[in-house]
Amino acid sequence: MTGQPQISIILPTHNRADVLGRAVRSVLAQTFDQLELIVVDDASTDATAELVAGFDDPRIRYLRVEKQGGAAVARNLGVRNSSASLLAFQDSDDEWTCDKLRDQYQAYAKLGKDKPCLVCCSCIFLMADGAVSWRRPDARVRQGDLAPDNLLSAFYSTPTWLMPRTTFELLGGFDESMPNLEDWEMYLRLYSQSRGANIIVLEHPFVIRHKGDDSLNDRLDARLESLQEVIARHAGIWKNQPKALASLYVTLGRTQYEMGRMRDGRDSFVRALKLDRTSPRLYLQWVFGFLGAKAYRLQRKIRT
Amino acid sequence: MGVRLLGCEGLPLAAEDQDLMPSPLISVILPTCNRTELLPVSAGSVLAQSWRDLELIVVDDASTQDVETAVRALGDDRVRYARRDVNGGPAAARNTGIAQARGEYVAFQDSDDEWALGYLQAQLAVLRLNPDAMLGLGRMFRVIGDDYRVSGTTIDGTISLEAVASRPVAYAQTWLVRRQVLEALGGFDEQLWLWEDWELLLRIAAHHRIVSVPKALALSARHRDSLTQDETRHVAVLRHIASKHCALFARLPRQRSNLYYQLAHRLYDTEGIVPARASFRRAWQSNPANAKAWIYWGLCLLHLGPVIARIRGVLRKGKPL
Repeated sequence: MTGQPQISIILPTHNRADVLGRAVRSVLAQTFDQLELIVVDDASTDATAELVAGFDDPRIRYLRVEKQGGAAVARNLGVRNSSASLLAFQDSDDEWTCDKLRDQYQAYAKLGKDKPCLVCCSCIFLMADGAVSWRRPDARVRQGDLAPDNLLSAFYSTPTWLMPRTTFELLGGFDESMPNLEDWEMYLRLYSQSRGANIIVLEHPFVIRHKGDDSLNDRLDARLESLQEVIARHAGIWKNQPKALASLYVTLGRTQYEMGRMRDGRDSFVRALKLDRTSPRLYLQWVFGFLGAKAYRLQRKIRT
Repeated sequence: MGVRLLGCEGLPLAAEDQDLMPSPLISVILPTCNRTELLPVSAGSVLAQSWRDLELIVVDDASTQDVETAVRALGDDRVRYARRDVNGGPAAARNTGIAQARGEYVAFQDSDDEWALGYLQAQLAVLRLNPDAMLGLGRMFRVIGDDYRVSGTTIDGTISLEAVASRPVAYAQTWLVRRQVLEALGGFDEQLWLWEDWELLLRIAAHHRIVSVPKALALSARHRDSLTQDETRHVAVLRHIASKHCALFARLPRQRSNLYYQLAHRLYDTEGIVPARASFRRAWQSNPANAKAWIYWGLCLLHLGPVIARIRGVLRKGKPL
């Protein structure tokens, strides 16, 4: 690479030295090589520092945070210490295919620069047992037609992003108070911009997300708290689209049922019903809340 | 058929120099005919593998584009360039690569596909755990229209000859195989321009143990499958395989039935109802339980073309071959 980097990639990490090499290598192997990679070590106690030092590539930089602050803090710090006009984010668990940045850069170049922008892409989920899943972004989403009713289903998280620095600064970065879903929260802020936003999703899966089954329930817990917080904070988006907001409460309710929190789940379904009284399925789901977690999981298993 | 072998610097590798270089554990063979614009991605996914001890042999199958320059632009010591002066197709090109390979194991990549970065490591781990296994079979992710398919299995274990013979699906890009096995079997059948990998896998499965490697993932998301296009080729290939492996399929009645069934559909599209009917008949003769073969045979007998078209439309909708 000659000259200044055109894309800064920020990679927050905490004690993932076992998989971090893969995430780093997939960034350094990009066909679009005018990049800098900033690894923000969020107070790791494992061999993360040595691992990063072992990469012989001038484009990689290492920042250490001594007191653990979480992904939002680490990403914001990384952005402040980066220089390119375009930003991308990587997670320690994930890997990119070689053409991700090049294709996204080309898509970005075609967007009008009058509004804040974001280019995402679809991703493949790879489970610990080798199971693979992928969902093609639907036509509306691919064309950038986002509306309150598809804002959760259309959401692709940070490892898929390419965002201009101007957009990031306009939004004020990630909310450091959110333990989880800080990227969806920022996404909603982007969507709510008074000027509107250009958000497009490339259908090719440039990102492979490796999912372990470590402390799944802990993660679900944090997500639940954040989901409620985000919905409350951005309720205005769904002011005129009660059904769309109802579907979010359905997602919340289902997650609570999965975790065995039947009363909380029923409350969520009641909220959903208040917004959308016409769906018989919602009544059924609410009733399930009285039958217990086992019954709920069984019917899910049967249906899938 | 001339084969030139160049090192990364573009200087010809003298034979004695090749012997002095340490042998890598894995030789990856990547045949290409033009498609230089895709090379950085397919070759890139090989060179970025977590398993570093490899050589990547790019076999230029008589391209008209300047593949050599594209290969040198990869800028990695582990890449070698081999050129065929006469275009031979994927089978011949891979065989050229095998002849140049120095690794104990061989893997294959296609110029328009990619590997997840842990592919080789996952393959090696399983083969080391199973020292009697000669080939590891990973998984291939493909986009089909709005949906996707993943070949292979999430279950660890042996993949039987019956399983291999059941369907003509065997992506060479999902293999890791001992080089000695390829050499003993004479490599790919160069008369085949299609399913040459399935045909070789049959021969390997007939004599050696194949194990599944669920975590070795290859990706073919870039292009829609163009193999489905030319059905006359399918007919020629299936006939060739059926006759070459007559003895093998004689021991596998269900698989032979399926083979005739597959052939029959393609005969219907290319040569007409009568040849198709004969092949459907052979299908139920091999396996009387093959209900679909009976049904289609009956429809052919009664010359109910439109009914056949309607049923096929429903049953085969979106299904790859």
